[in-house]
Amino acid sequence: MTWLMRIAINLEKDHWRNRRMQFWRHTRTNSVDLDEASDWLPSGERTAEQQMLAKEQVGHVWKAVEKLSARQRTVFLLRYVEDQELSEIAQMTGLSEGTVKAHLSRALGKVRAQLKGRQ
Amino acid sequence: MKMSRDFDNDDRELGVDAQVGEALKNFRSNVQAWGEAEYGCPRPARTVRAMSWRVATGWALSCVVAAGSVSGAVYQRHHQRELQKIAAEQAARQQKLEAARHASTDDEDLLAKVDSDVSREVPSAMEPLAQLMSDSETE
Repeated sequence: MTWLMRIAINLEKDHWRNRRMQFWRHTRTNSVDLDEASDWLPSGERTAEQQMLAKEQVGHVWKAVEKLSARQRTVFLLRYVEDQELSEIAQMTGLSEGTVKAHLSRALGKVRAQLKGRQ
Repeated sequence: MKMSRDFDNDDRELGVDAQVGEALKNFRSNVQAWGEAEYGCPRPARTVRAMSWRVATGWALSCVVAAGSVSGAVYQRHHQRELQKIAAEQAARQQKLEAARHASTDDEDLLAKVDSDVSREVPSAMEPLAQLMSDSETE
């Protein structure tokens, strides 16, 4: 009966993976409304000013993300949103770790430039 | 989604300083909050149908597999019992035959032994008398 349990667990995992994928599919197929996107921030214990600053930062990162190439964006989002290790990203994308690092470095350069551009 | 972790050596190597790190943390919180809100919403009807169809297929497949394995096990058990029964019957028949064979040889041996014990050679001087006795018995 162990394998029957395994089937049930895998079905459940697939279900959650599909729901998560739906979000990424949504953001890929529909252009992201930056104002709407930056609104989603947990308020936590921030002051209104800090909240505004965070929203502004997030808006800049989104702008930079929109300018990235598809591969750079994939690598960037896997690293800084999905918290994947470099080796995992390399495995998922079929790139070498060095190439993943290079893409991340370029993506971060663009994010940095965008953040500096606001100052 | 996973819980966010601190930036590690790889990130520092890639040039994630305090400012960029802060922005990336905010960005991650933003995407996670947005994503949670997105898949917290009720799914469109088409998706619900697709999902329920998949779940139903999954359940149906699991049931078929479970039923198959149970009936397979039952059949296997039944088959084994039949084989055991046939083997036991054969063994019993064999045993009977062996016993019958033994019994017949035992009887023959016994008769031969009795015959040899009872019969004695008549001395040649007594032979005419023995002849007379056998003649009178026949009469």
